[in-house]
Amino acid sequence: MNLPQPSPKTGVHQDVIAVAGLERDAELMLRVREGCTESFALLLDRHRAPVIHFLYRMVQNQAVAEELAQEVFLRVYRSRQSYEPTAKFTTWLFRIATHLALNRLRDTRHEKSQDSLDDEVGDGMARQVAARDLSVEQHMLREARFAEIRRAIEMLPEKQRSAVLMHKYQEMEYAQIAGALECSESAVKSLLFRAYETLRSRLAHMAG
Amino acid sequence: MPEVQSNSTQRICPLLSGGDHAERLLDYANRKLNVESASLIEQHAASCPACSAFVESQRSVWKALDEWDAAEISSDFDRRLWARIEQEERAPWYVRLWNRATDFGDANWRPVVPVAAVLLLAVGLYVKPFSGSFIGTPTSTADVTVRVDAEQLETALEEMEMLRQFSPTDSQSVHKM
Repeated sequence: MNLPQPSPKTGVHQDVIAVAGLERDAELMLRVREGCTESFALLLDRHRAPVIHFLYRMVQNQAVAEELAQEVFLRVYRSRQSYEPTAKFTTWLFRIATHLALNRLRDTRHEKSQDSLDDEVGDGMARQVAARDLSVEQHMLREARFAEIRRAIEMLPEKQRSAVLMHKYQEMEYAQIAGALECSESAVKSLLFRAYETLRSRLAHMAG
Repeated sequence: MPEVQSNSTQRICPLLSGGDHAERLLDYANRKLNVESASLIEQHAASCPACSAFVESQRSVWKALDEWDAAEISSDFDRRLWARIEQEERAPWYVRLWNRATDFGDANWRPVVPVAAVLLLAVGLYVKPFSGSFIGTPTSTADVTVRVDAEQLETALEEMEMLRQFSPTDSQSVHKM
């Protein structure tokens, strides 16, 4: 198999990048179907961060999120031969990501408390790097707020959580979220309305 | 947007109970409405304390959620992924076949397993009375066959899943976790 040789800056060949400005994801995927691994590298470049960030917020563990994201892209690559651009690529991508995240959450429900403890340590360390300039008091306040937001999201039912994360952080349209969650648009609106209602009651005091 | 009867003492807006208004209000609060629709909402919210409070509260939530930064992605993410892809390309045909058969891209195949198990059990229960009446022995051949088939299927599924998961990169990441 001829793997693409990543360029130092972006990870893909310049000629593919030039095409990328005009190409849409589905077209790139069709190229992958024809055996162009560079197009896959470009798709990976474009969607790596959104997928990992979505999964991270779903499972609240960076290592697990990356592992799941690997599986997402592996499944995309495996499916290249049967790929048909019937839906938006991102909808399809996030449908795979959501399935994997929900399966993971169901499988590890009993391990949740231990995982949460581990995450607090790991992710807390990651954020310390970003918050070096803060005083100890500011840092503690920030950590407390952060923990509260995480808990509020974590306590949402899984489908509501997925819908909110796609709506808020991926800025996906209702139709796309519906496609990813395999439900109707009205069901998505209802999920979001209930989810935000819960979040308003839990987080509204954090204003200001 | 429909006309609304609201006054300063109104605590609950009848339009907030659902439908287009609630959806538009949510979009407005999240700054996702176009100028024209936003203006209509603003006109209504100016005279409706319930909707005004809703918007303010939703914006607080939105602001709070903005604080949740995602962690940095590992620098070797792509390398690990390409290694997995390469490894899979080199895997025996039956492993690749199993991988493709079990993930279907976006399909969630897991529910199929319990359904298959239930069907197998149902077939077993259906076959058992017949086998007893025809052969007249406590453990008929058909009974044994069904039971063995179920066990074999289960073992085969487990072994293939193990094969699928077995890779150096996987085990590394598990240790890392």
